[in-house]
Amino acid sequence: MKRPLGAQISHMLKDRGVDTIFGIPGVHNQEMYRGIEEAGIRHVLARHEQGAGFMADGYARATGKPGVAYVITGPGLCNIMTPMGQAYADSVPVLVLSSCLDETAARRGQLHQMKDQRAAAEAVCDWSEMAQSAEAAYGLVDRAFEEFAVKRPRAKHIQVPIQLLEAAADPAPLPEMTSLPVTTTTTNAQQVAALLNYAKRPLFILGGGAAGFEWQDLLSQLGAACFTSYAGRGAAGGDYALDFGAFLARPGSAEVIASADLVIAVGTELAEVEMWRPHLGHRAALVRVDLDTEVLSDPQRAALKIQSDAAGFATALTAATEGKSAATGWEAGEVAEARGRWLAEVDAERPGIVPVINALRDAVPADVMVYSDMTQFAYVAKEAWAMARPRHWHHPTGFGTLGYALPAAIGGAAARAGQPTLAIVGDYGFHYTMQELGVAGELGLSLPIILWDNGKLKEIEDSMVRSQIAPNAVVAQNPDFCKLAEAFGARSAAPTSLAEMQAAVQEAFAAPVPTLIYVTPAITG
Amino acid sequence: MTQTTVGEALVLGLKDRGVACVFGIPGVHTVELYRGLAASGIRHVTPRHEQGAGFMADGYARVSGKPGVAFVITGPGLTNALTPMAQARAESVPVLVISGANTSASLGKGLGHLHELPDQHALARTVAKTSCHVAAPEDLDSALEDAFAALSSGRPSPAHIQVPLDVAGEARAAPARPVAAAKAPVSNALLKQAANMLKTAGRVVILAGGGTKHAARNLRVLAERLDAPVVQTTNARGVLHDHPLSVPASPSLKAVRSLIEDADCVLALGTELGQTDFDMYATGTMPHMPALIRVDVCQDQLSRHPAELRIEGRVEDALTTLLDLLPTGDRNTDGAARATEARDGAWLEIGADYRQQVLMLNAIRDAAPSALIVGDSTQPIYAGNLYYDHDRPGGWFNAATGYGALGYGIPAAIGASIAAPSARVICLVGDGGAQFSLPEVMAAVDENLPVTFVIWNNHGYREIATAMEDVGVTVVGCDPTPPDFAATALSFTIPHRQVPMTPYALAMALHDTAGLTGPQMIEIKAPPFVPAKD
Repeated sequence: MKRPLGAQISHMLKDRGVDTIFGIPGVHNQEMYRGIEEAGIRHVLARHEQGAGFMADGYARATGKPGVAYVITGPGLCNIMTPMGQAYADSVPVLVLSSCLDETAARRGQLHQMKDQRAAAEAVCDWSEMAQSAEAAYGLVDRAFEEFAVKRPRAKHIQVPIQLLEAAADPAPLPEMTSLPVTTTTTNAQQVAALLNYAKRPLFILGGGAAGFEWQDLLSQLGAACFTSYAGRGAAGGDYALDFGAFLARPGSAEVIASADLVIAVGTELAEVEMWRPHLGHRAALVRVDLDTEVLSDPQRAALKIQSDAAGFATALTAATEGKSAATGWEAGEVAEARGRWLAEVDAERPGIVPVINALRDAVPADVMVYSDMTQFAYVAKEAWAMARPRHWHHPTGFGTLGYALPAAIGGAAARAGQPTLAIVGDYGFHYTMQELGVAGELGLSLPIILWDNGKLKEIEDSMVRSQIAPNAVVAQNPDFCKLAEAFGARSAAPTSLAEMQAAVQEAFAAPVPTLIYVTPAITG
Repeated sequence: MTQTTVGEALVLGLKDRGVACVFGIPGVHTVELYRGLAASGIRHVTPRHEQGAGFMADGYARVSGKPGVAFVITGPGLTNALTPMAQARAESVPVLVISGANTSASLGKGLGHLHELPDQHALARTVAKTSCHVAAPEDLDSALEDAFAALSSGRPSPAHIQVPLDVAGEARAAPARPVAAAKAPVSNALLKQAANMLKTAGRVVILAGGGTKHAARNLRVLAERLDAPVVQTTNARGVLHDHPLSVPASPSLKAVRSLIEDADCVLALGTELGQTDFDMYATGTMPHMPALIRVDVCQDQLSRHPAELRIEGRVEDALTTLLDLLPTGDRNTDGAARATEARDGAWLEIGADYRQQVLMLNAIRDAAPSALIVGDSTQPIYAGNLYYDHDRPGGWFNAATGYGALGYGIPAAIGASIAAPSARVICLVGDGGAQFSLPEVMAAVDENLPVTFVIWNNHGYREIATAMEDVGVTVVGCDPTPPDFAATALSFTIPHRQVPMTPYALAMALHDTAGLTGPQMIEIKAPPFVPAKD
């Protein structure tokens, strides 16, 4: 049946498995809203489009499915650009659909008009396109879903003129099966197997792209050690003896990597934010496995480059190395010693946080999914909190934006009803998106939010001190966070000991609304 | 010669150009900007989100008439400030955003650096009039010149300067002294033509835009001399308060359009003739403007609409000359009667709901004379943009026009208060819009500013819900549960009081709180929005 195109788009998304849309309606995009309830999609109303974008990101990271956001022309789209930049940098499948003005060249000064909306969005995402017909809109949506399935996933934007959204259109075509990503050929797998035959100390670097496969059996069979990136934590399970952990940023990791006689990096861009040095530090041959040719062609010296999805590579390599005896060059003792040393370094750099992290980890269920913000607490936890499960800790790694954790955790918790989710934010980052607490309350999410309050932009203050600048503009007054949480219908707790904090967290997982748990460095007394 | 870092030199360059205050959130990428800041004497205000920084700079610029400056970090700091930059672009406000950029060697390579974008410089250019990249220490002088030229010449517009992480700490000499920009005079020949047209016309109407707010005195003399009703766009309100010739009503209204179309000569001063003022009901038509004479600072704007005569220049300069060319003495073209008819017609046209809200605005004005009323997109602001007579030029502005971003009100009011410390600032914001930027109230607490945040709480996006109902869309997503504002105010440590939606109650609340020196909140209980069920 014919419906306005805006409504048809919602039906089309439903047919492609979208069950939740995050957004804020406006007069410009109301036709898209016509179809939401009708199609049986749940709408989550954010308090700012930035919140909608981070929720879609959190939903996508939790489910592996595309996160979808609806926003209005102009400010709606501009407001969601930071989340788009974050999803671009962290390879998250986020699809933003917005309205746009019908005529922009000859008419200026229209409500919500900007200089070039499509171009502005394109600067922060994979691509940004305008649909000029119903067929084009459907084609672009299907292109986005196809690319999410087979390419490195990144944020994309589609905009549709208001008059077109209002015009009657035939339904979208039925969904077709998406194709499969490029995968590893038998030849490539045999080449890697041949390299492994000569290697005594093979080392894997597992990134966020590798986290969809359980690597422990393969690594164990090969006698290979591994590092993970922050996004790759948990890829080797929780108790693999040769897992060096997420310590790539420790200068000492370069020495370990230099001591390997074969390095295989899978699904990681070996980014600055992982290593804080320009080169990985390998001396032996590097095998690079990635879906994205841009990553494969970066300045890290690689002997063999394989364009492939990580799971396909792992499966092919398992087959190619069947019956091979394990390498014997790594000692579990050296791995444990290095991890212990690096953990002590982390603790010494930002003292007082590791004990809080340990207490928190002991208080949460094993299947907890954690969303962290840009805060010193999370910077320590990224290294110090070993993860047993892959894809269960999400951080705004690349773009590095404040305000990510709360809305992203809302998106994740909304997608995982009945499973535990935890948010960790700093006092400054909380200001960025605290309004979204109201959404968590509306959805009745049992979400504990650890608010780590060091009363200032401590990381920036430290940087000013290092640069011999008298610290300024880093202290701002904070509201009474507990009262504020209650104003938004949440619960609050201000534990004064680690045991109280653990009890508060456990209560929060059972509460019918979110709970803000206010923690300061004084908690370790 | 004194050696400084590029970051310090930039701050000195700002100081030389009269910058007295910056709004910013420091980050590791911008620490060099903060090296010189404390010693420079420039005030620093710390918002809670870079969007707040941009809107504060906007409010500051509108009230001070000087550029508003924001310091933000690379990447997310800039993307967070994009909405305010686009708003400033649409509204002709001089906002300068200074950001970091990643190290020069990494730009464009996609190496996964922290805060990286594919092309940040290109992104800024999609909203700013100019974006200057300081590739080397010596580029700073031209970057400052270009940016300030964009801010202050022609139509004021946002500008952007970015300094890569590696360049910011490099040594260089103190910045070059600013070059005084020569101001192009307004053409005398064109003004003479305009004077002749106006002299021979029998029924002149003046359309006053935001460009008239620094020329209120001469505008009044001109209107009286021509006996011409003065129709004021949103940004012009306050230029002719309580005057028989004043038509403080939107030219989108039929009654006001009739007034304009009935004229035999229309003089448009400092207005882009934009849609949110002239065709906010999106009919696709503009009122017919007979024998249109336009005065505007922007040549591009002038070329966009047909006009009999186009004069490039600032309204204040043009009016000074124009008054010399026009005869003094009584002239009666029924100006007051024409204005009265337009006002009366407009008042009826806006409907009972909006009239009730305008009465609330009148109560605010009368209880707090000469206040700055800074608005968000909320129902009384929509009502006031259609019809409201403010008592102070430049004292009524909001983001319901132009780009139309929610969340503008709270931070813009803070910027306005810093620019005019002795004025009472009243921020009028809906519960939906308040939730976009509520944390910024804490910046008003930091600075102890006399801002009254008036929250119009109707429990939702009423304006959007009405629009959905009008086109038969089941109302979805228009009822965000507002926070408990009393508890919110308590957590912010500011006074709060709740009043019913009556002009008297609001006036009393404003009167009672007039002596308070810091921020406060007044919550108006508006009838809650209830989505209609089919």
